[in-house]
Amino acid sequence: MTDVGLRRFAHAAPPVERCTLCGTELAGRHGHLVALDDRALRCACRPCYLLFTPTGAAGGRIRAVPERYLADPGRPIAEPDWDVLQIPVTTAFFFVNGDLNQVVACYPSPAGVTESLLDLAGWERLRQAYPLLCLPEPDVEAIYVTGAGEAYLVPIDACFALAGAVRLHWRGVDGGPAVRQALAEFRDDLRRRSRPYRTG
Amino acid sequence: MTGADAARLAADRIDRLLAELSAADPRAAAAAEELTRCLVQLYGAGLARIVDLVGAQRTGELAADPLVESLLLVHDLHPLDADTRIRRALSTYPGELEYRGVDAAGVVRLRLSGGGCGSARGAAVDRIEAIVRQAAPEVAGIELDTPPPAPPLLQISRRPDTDVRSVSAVAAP
Repeated sequence: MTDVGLRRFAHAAPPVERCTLCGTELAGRHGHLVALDDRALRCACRPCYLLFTPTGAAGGRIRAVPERYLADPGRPIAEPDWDVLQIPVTTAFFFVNGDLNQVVACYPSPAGVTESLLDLAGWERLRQAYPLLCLPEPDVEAIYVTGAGEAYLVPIDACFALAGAVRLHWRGVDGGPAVRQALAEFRDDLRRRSRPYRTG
Repeated sequence: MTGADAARLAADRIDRLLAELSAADPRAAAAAEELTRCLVQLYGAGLARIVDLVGAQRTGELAADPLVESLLLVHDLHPLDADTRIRRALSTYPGELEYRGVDAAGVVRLRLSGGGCGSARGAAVDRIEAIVRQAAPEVAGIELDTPPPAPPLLQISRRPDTDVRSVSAVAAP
């Protein structure tokens, strides 16, 4: 006898995540695609994900989010350089919006991701001083900067996952201990995953 | 409206709204379905904690309220087991009915022994199933044995050797 009435909801299993292209059931860890037309992050199974890894696939409108993590441990961003960007927080990620050819700064906040366009000249100066900042692929990779000035090149989906966690745990004015812990865990994860990037 | 009806009416209303949404926007309907699931399960988890904290005896007292009982049943938190609840619910059934218990697969076995014509029996079956389903919505199924139907009435006809004309000749000399 199938459950009827409210029992149908009380005993239903959570829905399985499916590939947004082919509908295959997804594993907990799976790749993501950025659809540039609606700027949405879409879950994808491995075969569908791989379809969009070559440059120019789908006319460049759907792009696979790369999986590399890079760091430049010898070159933390110095405070005066950071101040040039005139952003009000110490934890942020930056990505290039390829359609607008603009650098977007994002801050995880209780309202989700807060975006602001960045002064391009300031970013350009920073790129010259910190070569890691020249590497992210537009729209799919970001530079994540911790409060201590550590900079990492990370997949954009990781940034949005962090922003989701921050939003979920935010309490009070500064986010509270749970948010600090989420940020610390994210940083530890970046330190573990990142390969050092060396210039010349 | 009794308390027990409240959960059923809410469920009916939710189903109707989901059906409306489903016709207009299946993706929105899927999200609404998931939203309902999240809320019902959150309140179910809260109810489970309350049942844990107050203990079986107090929960039993609270279950005397029809609304509370119906929600405990939704979340499988009723302090009495299915067998006890079914026996209790059927104890007031007026007809001749034998309750044979819940088998290992969770199917309720019943035997209806009273007579009655086909449609009267059909109504009785529906009523019994509704009583069992309300008392123990978690059961896997209901098997209700009914006695074989009474033999069909015999057609009364003329004796084969009766002659229609001769009969009328007798009647009208």
